[in-house]
Amino acid sequence: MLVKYIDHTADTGFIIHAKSLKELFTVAAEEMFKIICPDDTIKPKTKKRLTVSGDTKEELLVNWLSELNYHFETQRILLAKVDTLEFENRALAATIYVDNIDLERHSLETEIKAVTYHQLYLKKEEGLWKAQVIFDL
Amino acid sequence: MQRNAVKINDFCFEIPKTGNMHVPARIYASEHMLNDIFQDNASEQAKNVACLPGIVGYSFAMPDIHWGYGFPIGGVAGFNLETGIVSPGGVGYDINCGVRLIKTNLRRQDIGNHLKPLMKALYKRIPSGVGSTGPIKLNKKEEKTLLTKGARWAIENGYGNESDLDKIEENGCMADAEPDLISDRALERGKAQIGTLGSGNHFVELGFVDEIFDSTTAQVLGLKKDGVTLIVHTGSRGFGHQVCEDYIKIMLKATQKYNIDLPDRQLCCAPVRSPEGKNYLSAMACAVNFSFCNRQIISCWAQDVFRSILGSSVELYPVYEVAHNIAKIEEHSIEGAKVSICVHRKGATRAFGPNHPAIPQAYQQIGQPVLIPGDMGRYSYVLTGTEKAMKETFGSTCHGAGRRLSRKKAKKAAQNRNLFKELEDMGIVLQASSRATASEEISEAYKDVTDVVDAVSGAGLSNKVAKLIPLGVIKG
Repeated sequence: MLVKYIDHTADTGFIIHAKSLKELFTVAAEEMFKIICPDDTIKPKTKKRLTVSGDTKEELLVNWLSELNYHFETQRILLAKVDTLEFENRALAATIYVDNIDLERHSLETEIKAVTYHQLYLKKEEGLWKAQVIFDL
Repeated sequence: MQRNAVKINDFCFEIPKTGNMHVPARIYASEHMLNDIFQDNASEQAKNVACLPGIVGYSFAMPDIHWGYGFPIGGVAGFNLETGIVSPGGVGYDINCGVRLIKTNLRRQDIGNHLKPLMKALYKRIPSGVGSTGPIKLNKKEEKTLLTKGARWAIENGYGNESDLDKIEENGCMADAEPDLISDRALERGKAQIGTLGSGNHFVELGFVDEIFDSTTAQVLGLKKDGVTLIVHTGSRGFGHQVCEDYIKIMLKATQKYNIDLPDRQLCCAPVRSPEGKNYLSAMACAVNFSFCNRQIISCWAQDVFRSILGSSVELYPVYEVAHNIAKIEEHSIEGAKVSICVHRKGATRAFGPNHPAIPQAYQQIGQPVLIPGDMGRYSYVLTGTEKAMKETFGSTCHGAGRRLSRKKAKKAAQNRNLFKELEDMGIVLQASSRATASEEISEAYKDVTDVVDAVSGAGLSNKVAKLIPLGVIKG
């Protein structure tokens, strides 16, 4: 597994290489929350179930990360870990553990405005799943 | 000469039409700025914009251009209403991110020992930081009313005066806003975020007029040497981000439906006159209005704070407020004919020249005021729009200093430094929600805004009026 951050001038993004699609989606979600709250202070306190769909795998990845960002902003929660993640046709169902934002414990560093389609890719190459995502900060 | 850019004059360089470009790209900059400009993907993005259907004239880049997503930041493009497109990527996620410049009846010396308490009180009153929410909670019906009224909603609810509206682009309300085109998700994200600053490069900056370049124009604007000013820079918060996200999904499908060939999916778009195009413009107008209202409320709270610290005789008046991320149908003279086009400004500012009906009566003789914020340690500029900008760039100019270091590089440069102390030694009080944000926003992360302003001034797109120096900054 590889995670490499992109040195974008105004925003940020990452490239992920993973052995499976499940690992790639899991790592992408957990890395996104490291951008928001980089300290190791997020505890897996509450279990939550999410389902997300997308017409293509790339769109599914954008929608998955956007869904998590939406829950972060509207429910004031941080992703602690992805517990289970299953793909079915053009959708995914996930069980995640989250922590309520507590500014005494959590240092929120970066607001992600959106997950963009700019230079987005998700492909299988030489036995690895590879993706690039750029966020608007 | 840099790469394949051809010098048109000392402040304008052209990337010739190649490949699928319908028009050339034009970058406004001084020659010494080109190295920085060509270092990232921004010029490629300007070329990508030139490939979009129905683009008129040129794909423009202002001197603060840098790598964005889809359009470059600092990009301006106009599209024919019959053959052209509208693209949410040409506006960005932070729809109507913009700035308001406020003047006061205070002079620099009146601030004196009140500086720290004033900044502390402003920081306490104006909600800021990642995912910040404010004291105003909107139900769905009220939120929809706000989306159609813009800054007027704030006035009607006791935040400011009727006369403030005249000093806001579009008078603080874009027509054609249609709240029924807004998703529940966008309403949910917006319901507790009105009257919040947010984070990243958004800020409130207290400053003073340090230098006046054009005394006649400064007098019309009411700017005097050593006069205290306030700048509010924020946008449409999560509401606007969600509107853009929702419509990018629609536009991805529209791009296929209308067989539009794109060099970057983030440029997804639809013909301006298509149902998708019209709906986007009406939904975008809701976010534009959310943002106008947001800055109006924050400005009103700022006045309360000033009065609580410095006395009830303190007055704050808007000089002008401009949008940085917007698409609008505007009439421009093209090859001698008046033509309506859809102008996208992404990280660029409208800068209409004198006698334009869209600018306030009080500013008819001088042209539209434009505020160009610099970085938190240096200076900002007040400019005015020109007739030349009307002829060359659809009445557009730059919007800020423009980043030159990535956030990662900026954080590295800020390591082991006490930024708060550094600024304090320069006489600037910094209030920041996180050290990380402050690190990302260090002065050296940005181009020198003087270079940017000199380039637009040299190109004749704007006139320099005054320079402002910061005294205190709130970063989200």
